[in-house]
Amino acid sequence: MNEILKVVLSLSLSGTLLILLLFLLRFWFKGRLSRQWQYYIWLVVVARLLFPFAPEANLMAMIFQGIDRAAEQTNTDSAYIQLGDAADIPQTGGTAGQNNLHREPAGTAESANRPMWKNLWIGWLVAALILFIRKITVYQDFVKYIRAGCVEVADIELLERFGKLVDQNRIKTTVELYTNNLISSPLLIGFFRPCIVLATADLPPADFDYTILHELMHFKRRDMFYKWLVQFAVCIHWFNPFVYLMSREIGRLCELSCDEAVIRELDAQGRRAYGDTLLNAIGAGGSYKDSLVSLTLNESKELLKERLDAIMNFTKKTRWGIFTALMLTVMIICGFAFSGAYAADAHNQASTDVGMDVVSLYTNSVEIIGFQQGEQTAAKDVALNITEDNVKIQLNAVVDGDSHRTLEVIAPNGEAVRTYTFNQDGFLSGSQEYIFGSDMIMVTDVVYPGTWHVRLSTNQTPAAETFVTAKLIDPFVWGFTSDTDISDEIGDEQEPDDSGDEQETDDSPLLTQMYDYYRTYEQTKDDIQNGYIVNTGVSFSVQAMPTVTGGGGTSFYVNHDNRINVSITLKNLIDGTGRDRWMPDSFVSLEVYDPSGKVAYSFYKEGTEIQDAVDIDTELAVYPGEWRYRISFAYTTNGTDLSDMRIALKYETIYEDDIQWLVDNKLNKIN
Amino acid sequence: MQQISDYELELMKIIWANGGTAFYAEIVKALEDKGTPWTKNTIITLLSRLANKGFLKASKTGFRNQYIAVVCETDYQEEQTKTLLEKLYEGSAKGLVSTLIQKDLLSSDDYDDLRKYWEGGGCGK
Repeated sequence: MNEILKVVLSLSLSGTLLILLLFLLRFWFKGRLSRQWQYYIWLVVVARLLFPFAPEANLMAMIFQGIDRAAEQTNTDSAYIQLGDAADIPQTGGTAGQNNLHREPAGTAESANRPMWKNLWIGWLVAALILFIRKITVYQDFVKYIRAGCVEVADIELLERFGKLVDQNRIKTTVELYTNNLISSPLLIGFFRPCIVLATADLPPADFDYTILHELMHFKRRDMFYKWLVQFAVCIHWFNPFVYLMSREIGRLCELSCDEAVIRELDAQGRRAYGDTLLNAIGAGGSYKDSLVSLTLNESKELLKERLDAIMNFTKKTRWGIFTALMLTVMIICGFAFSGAYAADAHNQASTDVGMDVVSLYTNSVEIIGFQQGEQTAAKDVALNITEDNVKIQLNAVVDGDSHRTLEVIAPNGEAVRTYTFNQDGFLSGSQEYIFGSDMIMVTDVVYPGTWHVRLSTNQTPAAETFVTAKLIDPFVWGFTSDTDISDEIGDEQEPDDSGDEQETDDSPLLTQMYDYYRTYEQTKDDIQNGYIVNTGVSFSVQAMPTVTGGGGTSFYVNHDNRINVSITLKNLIDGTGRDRWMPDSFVSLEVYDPSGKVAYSFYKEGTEIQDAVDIDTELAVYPGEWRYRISFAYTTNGTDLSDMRIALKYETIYEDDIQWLVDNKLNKIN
Repeated sequence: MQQISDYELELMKIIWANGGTAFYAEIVKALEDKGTPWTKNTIITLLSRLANKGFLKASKTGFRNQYIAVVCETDYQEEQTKTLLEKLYEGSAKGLVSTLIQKDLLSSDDYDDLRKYWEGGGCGK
């Protein structure tokens, strides 16, 4: 709930900026713009104070997010300081023993730190409510008091005169006319059943007319609503001294603009008479003065003087045209938008745009999103503007143990196409990933142009750092390019077996993706139409260590007795066995399993054997049932000789239903 | 019963003459006929004052406003007369009658009628 207070504070701050702006401009456009415009332009400020809407990039967002981060920092710092004194801190999940200062006790330390701040919003709300309710009750008392002393105007001539004025002003509601000798100046009371109350009905006819016209104009323009809206804003921002200045200024402009609206219709003589009326009104007796509650004809001598000046200097045409007024209005509305509001979101999102030239095909990976150690934020979101067709997003996440994160890749339509979870040991689980060492690499399918999002969220305070880098890759070159070379980054504690173990239990869709990384969606589609069950392969002209091991293979359903053409090409693959202790021994293997699970075809080469060129073209008989193929390999390339690895399985006879099955279950299952 | 102004009385008379109830439009027409075409604001102001004082009840039938007299003419006359008697004649009708006679405010026909009425002992019409 403190979020609401933050919103209010940000609105207050940006509103104050606008108030100051308008006050500065006031001297400038005093005589040059109509009082009416000046009166209504303050609506923009009131709106800014009341409505938390703003475009994403705005001043308040920047200021307040900076404050947020600073606050988090001080919170974690103080949490750690407090924990230094605490006695035995029980270790949870004992292995990662670097820091003794950990999250669990941190929870209690934080809450001990914060109750005062957390409940500040209650103080604000209570004060605002009290002020507003008080205003309402004071108004109601006032109205009651006035009504009690009201005397109906019985003089039919006056009533008629009054009635005619009401008619002339095209007011459809019935307005009552009263006198009350307790008031000092004429009032308009009532929002929906309006009454005009005069101090006395014994006025020269001209004075009567102008007084009535003035009050009727207030009613016609619904000034009382505007006034109450302002009062509401004042109550909400009771702590801000500038809103009181604003309220007074708007009150002043209310009267001035009302005058202006009335004398617009009058000729020079009429205007003079109007001024006389204002002067005469000072003399009226009465004791009840309350400028908040009623719309009075004269507030103070200063105001009166200003009004008289304005009447004298009134010209039908203002010095600056409508165009200038419009321009100023637009400028001020921009000020409204830019000064902005704190976007208090349940997830405290900080959304930034990562442009195309940052995450692209032609640059190395760039860090796009991450959590600091112990950062309190619940979720972060970054937008990736992808304009290229035919690319895939490759994400690398660097995590330490105890991470507790969820990483999602979200398509422009809002659907999460990839979800990965980092658990407490830092390991990854989720859809379609490739794990290597402790650096997690995730590759999406071919992405279509649009604004994609990568979202990092957590349901616990992450004790360790995470950062995620992204780059775009060519769909058919998937391997380790120089900036994703893991050999520099792997820590000592990670066993290669772990990654192998992780993968063995993985299901086929993972590896299907792998092979299709070497083929674009379009190419796979064409392949399938041409009868290919799989047609994958890659050439490297750089040093690479392509490795795909484990997995259960990919199934494909055969509907008819048929033959499958098996073709395998290997060229310039280098045996990398033993080069690094984390690298698997080099090998290339293809297995095809029949519906009973027996191996129907097998190709296997390991170690130095893979360095011999291979060119196989053979056939395999198949019958209806669910078959499976599995392709695994690990080799290196030297970057000097162009390597080539191609594996294809193709139906000899193409049947529609076989093709359709592949389309449904292989091509389109990807997404 | 509250006091009503002369103009409010005018409106009451119109409504009484119309059978104790009248539509707004009928009231407007009657006023025009009488030669006092008041503005809409005035008419409605007076009508709502009468309603507030309990003399009229306003009801809306469809889109038209209808005003129904709650106080009948005779009641009003009775009240006013009582007030007059109390104020000027200490509640004694005799004083009133003698003023009427002395000041030649009664014609002989009126006197006969009055006599009969008095001896009849009831309220009229």
